[in-house]
Amino acid sequence: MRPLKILLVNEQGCFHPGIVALAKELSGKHQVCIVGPLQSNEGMGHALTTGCPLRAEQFFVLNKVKIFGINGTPCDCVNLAIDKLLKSKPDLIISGIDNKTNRGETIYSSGVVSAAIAGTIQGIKSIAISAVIENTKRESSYVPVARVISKELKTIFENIRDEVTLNINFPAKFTFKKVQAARLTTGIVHNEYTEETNPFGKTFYWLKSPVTAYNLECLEQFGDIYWLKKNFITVTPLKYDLTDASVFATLEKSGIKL
Amino acid sequence: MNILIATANNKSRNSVGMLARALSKKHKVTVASMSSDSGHRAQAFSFVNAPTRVNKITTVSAPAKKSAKNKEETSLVANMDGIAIYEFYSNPADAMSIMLGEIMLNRPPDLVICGISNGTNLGPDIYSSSHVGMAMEAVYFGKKAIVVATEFEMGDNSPETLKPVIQFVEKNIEKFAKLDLGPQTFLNMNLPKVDDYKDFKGVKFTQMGKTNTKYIFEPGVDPKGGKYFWARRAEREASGDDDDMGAYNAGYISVTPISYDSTEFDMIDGLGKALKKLGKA
Repeated sequence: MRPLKILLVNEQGCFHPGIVALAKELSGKHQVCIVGPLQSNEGMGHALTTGCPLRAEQFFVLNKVKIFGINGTPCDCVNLAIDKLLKSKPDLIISGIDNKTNRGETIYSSGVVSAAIAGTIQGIKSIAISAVIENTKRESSYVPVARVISKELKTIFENIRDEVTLNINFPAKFTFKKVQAARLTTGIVHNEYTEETNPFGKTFYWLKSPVTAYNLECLEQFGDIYWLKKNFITVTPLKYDLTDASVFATLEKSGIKL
Repeated sequence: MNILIATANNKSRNSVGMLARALSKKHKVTVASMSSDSGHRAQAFSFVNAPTRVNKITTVSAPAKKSAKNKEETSLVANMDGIAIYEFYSNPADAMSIMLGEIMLNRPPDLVICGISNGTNLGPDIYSSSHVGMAMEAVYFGKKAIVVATEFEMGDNSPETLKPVIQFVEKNIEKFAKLDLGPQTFLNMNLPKVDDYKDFKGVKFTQMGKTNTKYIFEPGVDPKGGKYFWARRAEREASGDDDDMGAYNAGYISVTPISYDSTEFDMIDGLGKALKKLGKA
């Protein structure tokens, strides 16, 4: 495969072991640049910074990989990299490696998946990579996943369509025999919160644990959560266009008018 | 009906007060607002690192401006007595999650209205909009939701711009609540700026617009000589007539059904075959 210009981005920060492992693995063959947030941006979704300026700090060069840290969100990193930091448009954006899976409805609050979608919006082939990692602080924990991506990049790259983002999740133990093209699992969420009082007597809430009642059909058939539980690597194609074309007939009959 | 108005703006914005007051004539209205205007937050959550503080305000009173031409419209906050207003120190999606998962658990809303957004949510804006993020969160909880957006105005939407927008929502509110779009879909509505209700050209049910947006940053130098970049308003080329941008630009109210299930089903089979080759090269 020809060398690609690859932009690496993530939500946990530009020095996170997941992104560094990936950069080291890819930089042998490809031209790689890291543009990541300076702080952890977990759960930032597709948030953009508009109210205040962004700064790009350039740090040391690691295996020919330039590292930029941005005081913004993952999607800011992608947008700023494309507009100002990179000399030319990248061929591919890889977001991750995230140290937890991003599947089902959680993809929209994930900065990792959203950063990949931000790339797709700007017409660049993009993938998001998440994995179940046991020791999340150690770079070596991410190396097996990074190696798979580096080795199989050609197959992955060729299978990205325009306006489609690939969301890839790795279970804790994976083999090539267990790879599945999976749909997004849908369902109804029941988040539970604890209501507490702070030292000043004011109420605050904190998420206890998200409980999701997933669509049974999805869980049993093609849903990403189903396959991840069975230790499959899942690849989910996410389309840009969120229009639900199936309801246009209902809408025409709805009587919504001036 | 039991209606939740969720806004990513501060409670004292015109858009919040006017909408709440208009709907409370016939319905029971609860307002979830943010401590400060929180645009472009998408579905960001704060719970990972911090808890969320909530203030409940049942009566808000602010003195009416004497110079205002129409006292009734500019002193809205004062007229919101009796409407429960919650003010969140968090991201908008947290607010929605706590409203539906905790505060309104025992009296779930029949309809969730997210807005009124000061600035349109067309095409790729759908991904970064706070109001769309809130609506998506409401859909996760199995609620019916609509997003209402109108043209961007510096600072705050003026009562003149908001009046026809609210009139449209008021007129169709029962239909929105009755509509069965399935468990993953909500309506994203963009209303053009008009002087009078009759100036709307009509309602169009549209497709989400294309990815033709450029995100441009303005470089600058701060007083200490440091270089910075500031996001400009996203620029986009003209798109087709039949999508949300086309309808909006032509003066129509654009109504787009948005589903969070973004799986590209056409690709599943082909991708499955391609993935079988992995590890064999």
